[in-house]
Amino acid sequence: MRQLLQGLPKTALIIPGGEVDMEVNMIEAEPKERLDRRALKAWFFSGLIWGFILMIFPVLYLTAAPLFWDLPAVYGWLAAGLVVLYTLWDAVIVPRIKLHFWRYEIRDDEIDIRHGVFIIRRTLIPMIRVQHVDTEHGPIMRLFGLATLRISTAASEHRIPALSRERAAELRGEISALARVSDEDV
Amino acid sequence: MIPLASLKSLLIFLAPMALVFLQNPGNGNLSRNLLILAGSAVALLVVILPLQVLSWAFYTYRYEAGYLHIKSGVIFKKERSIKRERVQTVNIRRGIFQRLLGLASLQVETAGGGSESELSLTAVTLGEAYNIKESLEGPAAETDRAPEENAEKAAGESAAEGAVREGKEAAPRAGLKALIDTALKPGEQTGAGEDNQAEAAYRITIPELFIAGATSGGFFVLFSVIGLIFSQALPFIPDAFWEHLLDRVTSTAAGTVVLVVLVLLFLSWLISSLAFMVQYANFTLQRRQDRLQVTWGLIEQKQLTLNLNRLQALVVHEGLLRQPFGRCALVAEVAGGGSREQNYVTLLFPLLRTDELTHFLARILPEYRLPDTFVPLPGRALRRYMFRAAAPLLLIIVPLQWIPYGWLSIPLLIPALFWGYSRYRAGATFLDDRQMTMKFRFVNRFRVLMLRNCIQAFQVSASPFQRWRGLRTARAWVLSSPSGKAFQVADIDIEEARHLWDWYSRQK
Repeated sequence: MRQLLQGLPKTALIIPGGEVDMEVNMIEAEPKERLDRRALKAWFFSGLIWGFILMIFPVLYLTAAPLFWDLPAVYGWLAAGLVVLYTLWDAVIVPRIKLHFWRYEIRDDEIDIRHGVFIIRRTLIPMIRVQHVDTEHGPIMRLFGLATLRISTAASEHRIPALSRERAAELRGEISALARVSDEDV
Repeated sequence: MIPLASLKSLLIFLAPMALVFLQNPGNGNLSRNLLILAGSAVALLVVILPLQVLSWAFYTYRYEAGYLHIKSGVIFKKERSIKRERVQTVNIRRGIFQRLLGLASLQVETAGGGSESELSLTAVTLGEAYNIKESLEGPAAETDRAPEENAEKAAGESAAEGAVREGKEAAPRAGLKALIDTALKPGEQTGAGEDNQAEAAYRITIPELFIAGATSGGFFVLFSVIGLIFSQALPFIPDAFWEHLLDRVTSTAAGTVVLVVLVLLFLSWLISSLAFMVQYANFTLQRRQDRLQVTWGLIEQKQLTLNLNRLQALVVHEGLLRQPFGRCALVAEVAGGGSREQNYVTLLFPLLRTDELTHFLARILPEYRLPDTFVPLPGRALRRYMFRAAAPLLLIIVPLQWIPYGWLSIPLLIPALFWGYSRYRAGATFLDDRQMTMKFRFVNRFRVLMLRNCIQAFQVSASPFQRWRGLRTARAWVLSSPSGKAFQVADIDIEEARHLWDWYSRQK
């Protein structure tokens, strides 16, 4: 299964024209590190699953409508088309944009995150404000060896999704060590 | 307090019963129903009273070496120890009965304790309440003294004993006079050292209190309630009244309707103003070292002590109705322990003259500074604010053009655009070395004062349109109960966003 997926999406994920080249300078000194490229596959996969789930409705309509009521099939095909378009958008295009903009950097005294699809957000979390860090991964993430890093302050929660699992564990250790050091300074 | 507490629970039980019985006199005569009611009241009292006495008898507390120990429970025993360092606030309240009996209720809140109080003593003498408060909140040096012999009964000290204890501090008072005199005067505290003297204190005056009530905007809610009651009472108003109104006062039916609505509006405004005045009467704010003490209430008196390290942000709240009078309210965002009944918002002062704010803060909270000037939004942000105000309306107005008289909706754009403009005018930010200030309006205008070390995280964001115009949205998270809160100003200049970012960043 894994090999099949690794072989397949390579071609499936490429948009004609290559990567979107659109640099956004939110604030100078953008964070440097990027997410794991396997994120594309994981997001593609979960987008596809969503697509299948959504597809149930037009399929149901197309099979059931002619049997019980006298409803035109056009709407069913229209809905199916919309679902295909949405899935294309959600599984292929959005992940590429997301990956393109996603940056993070863990410094000694703060965490700097940039992310977004339309609205690009740049977030700054001082180390002394970090309350706890978790890593978590669902079944799809696990399949691709990925994990999400969740950083909580007393007032907010921030995520770095789709890091390799080793990197996530490493960062978790690093952040909690740094957060503890800064705690003593307060 | 036992009989009173029993009576209260009795009333809660009986009220629905009484309603049912007295509303339907059809199924039996009224006197028989009353008899059943009285019988069940006595029966319930026989059950409730001993239960109350028992739970009182088993509720004990003890203060010792930095810990407060509580034991409670008749059948299921519960013991709890609260560490002094963990105590966030000690609140003292006095309801009308408690004041008649010289008692007070006391709530101890700890960090992260959820919405329920860790400890709630419903009836201790006022002096004892202050003693507990002092031992839990006073300077740390005091905790080192020998364990206090405080193993006393807490809930339900008898009224007589309460009066005796009260007598030690102030002359015993009785009856209605006590209601007026035994207000929570912090000076009455027994164990209070000289370090407890207020450094600055503000007390609301009666005219200010009236303006506060009149402009609190509470009458909108009350108006709907009164309207509902009125519509229910409509059939009981005699026709003669309406005829008189129509003949003598107004000549048209429409005039009558307008008059009735106006009268109801005035009535709800009057009632809500008075309710506000009673609720916040004698509102006093005091600063003592690193603590703020807030006291308010006429019938039920409340006292709240706020340690400054729990204060996360200061909000100057200019209500729409208060702005024309140049008045505002001062609200605090507090970490942990906010009470649910106040929507987790801690009112620091209900009404202040906006032009006296700077002076007020300098005396009460010199840690915060109200900026005189702000960095306003750049001119190119105006069209975005206008668009944001008008766009939802356009979604409605445009389809309306296909129906007759749909064009009548077009003038609605004027107030919408005006609203957008005033939101644009309100938006601003300001930095000084320790504090970030955000100014913005939704309907009411807010100025949020945040110290750098109270901002939990900071974000700058931009949509493609904002990027195109060189604008950014700035957002800051502060800790506030029950969870965090984010304040934001949209469409600030990119340079100002950089400025804020660099100020917050520890990377120099």
